[in-house]
Amino acid sequence: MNAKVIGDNLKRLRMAQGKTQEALAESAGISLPGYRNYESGKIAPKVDTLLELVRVLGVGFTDVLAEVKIPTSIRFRALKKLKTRDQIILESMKRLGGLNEVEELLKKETRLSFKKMAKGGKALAKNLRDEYEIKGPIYNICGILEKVGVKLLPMVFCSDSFFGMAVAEKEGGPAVVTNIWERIPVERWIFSTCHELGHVLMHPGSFKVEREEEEPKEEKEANEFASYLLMPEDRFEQEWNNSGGLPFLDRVFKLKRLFRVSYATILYRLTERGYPGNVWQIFHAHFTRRFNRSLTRKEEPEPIMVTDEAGEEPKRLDNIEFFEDRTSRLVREALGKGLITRDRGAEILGISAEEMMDRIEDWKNDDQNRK
Amino acid sequence: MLTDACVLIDFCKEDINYLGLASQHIGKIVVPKPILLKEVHQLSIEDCDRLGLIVYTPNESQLLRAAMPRKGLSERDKLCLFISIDEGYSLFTNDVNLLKAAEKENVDAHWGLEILVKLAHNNIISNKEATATARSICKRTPYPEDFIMKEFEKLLLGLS
Repeated sequence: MNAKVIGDNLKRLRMAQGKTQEALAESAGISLPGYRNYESGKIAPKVDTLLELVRVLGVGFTDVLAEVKIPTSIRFRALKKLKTRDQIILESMKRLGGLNEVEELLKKETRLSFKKMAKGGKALAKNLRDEYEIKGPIYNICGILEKVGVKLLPMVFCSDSFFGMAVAEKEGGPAVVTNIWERIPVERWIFSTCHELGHVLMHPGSFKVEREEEEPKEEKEANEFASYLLMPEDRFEQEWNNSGGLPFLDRVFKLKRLFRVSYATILYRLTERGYPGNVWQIFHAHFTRRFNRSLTRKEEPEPIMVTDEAGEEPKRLDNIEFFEDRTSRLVREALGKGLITRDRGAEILGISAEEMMDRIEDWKNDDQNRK
Repeated sequence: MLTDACVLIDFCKEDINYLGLASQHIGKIVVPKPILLKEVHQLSIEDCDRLGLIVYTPNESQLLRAAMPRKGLSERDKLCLFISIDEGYSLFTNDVNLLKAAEKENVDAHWGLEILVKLAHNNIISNKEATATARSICKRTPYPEDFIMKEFEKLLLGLS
């Protein structure tokens, strides 16, 4: 076994879980100096010790044994430098690999089908809406990505500084990874997905994993794309005007719910179209007056996705509003055709073998009910 | 006899004692340690001792080979496959894909449900009990229940 590879993997996996060397060594029943020798790559652990470390980390033995390479054509941005960056990328790539595997086995590979490119986020959003005849609010953003031919991987990473990333075609994409951690509002999941989709369509040449800084022009374009994809100009105007009889706060809440966006996205649009006065101050003043408390943001929100941090989202959407079911559907089909085992299906879906078996039982009950 | 993770879970969900009866009357059941530690939470090392199951610690080569990509199989499936190849164990699985992969490697591969057939043929359980248990296990496999049960009943009655 390659001690260096194992050491690097152990360190990355441990840090991603926020565990100290002491804590991991203790849980695995080994001495701290002994563990340090493994992590530094001086010596490789014996099989029994390795399996114990795998158990304590809750990962597969492949995660510890296999040499990993960080893919290069990825667009990864976070609000701050993340210690877990490599692990987020590798976990996402593992999940993408699984999705690609079932696609290939079923001969249902995703191909980017949207070709009507345009200059600027607003124009591109309009083209996309026209191409797929999307009239009103988007109720199923996951379905839109499927139509466009971009894979979507909703994944949970316990970080409110990382919202999503995009993977280029040469790395198995085009794909969008969205962080669906429960502490990030669902509206943000939806917006981040659209934002990354914007990057996939508009900035395919700038997928470079080593770039950690955000390019302001590209970010602005992706935000604009997301905003106009979710809230087309004419429909926004119509809805804003129709709600003219409501108090300001309720107008924002009504539109936010209708378009499934954050309140900040609505306020940003209002600012953009020249709402008189400081719309952010007006909103916060109304909010404080009505609810006798202020929104839990440290600063006045900036345009979404730029410097904003995940904060409280008033009247937020339910998780059910963001449902990616394509991977599960493909796994179900591949299982039925005997192309993958149940345990492989579980790996691809990131669930346990037992959960996979329970899910199969549900599917079969559903099939019987349909008959 | 080596059983994959899902077969172990299947029997644990039905009645953990089937594993003990099989190990006692048909052939020693071998359980790869990584599977026991990671996936089969209903079965502990102590249970294995009590039931007469052998906990197998794979060697480095088996783990490394199982860590290599192979479409359609999980790392644990691959581990079962390589252990069976190296040790000459019969492999029991209820997954078509692993069954085919094992046959390709000249491993003596069987349906996991055959354990019930063997228990019935050895008069350890009744045909009725074997059929009822097989039907229940079938619900957790992705294949059509009627087809599997027809094949199962043929085996049970010694027709194939």
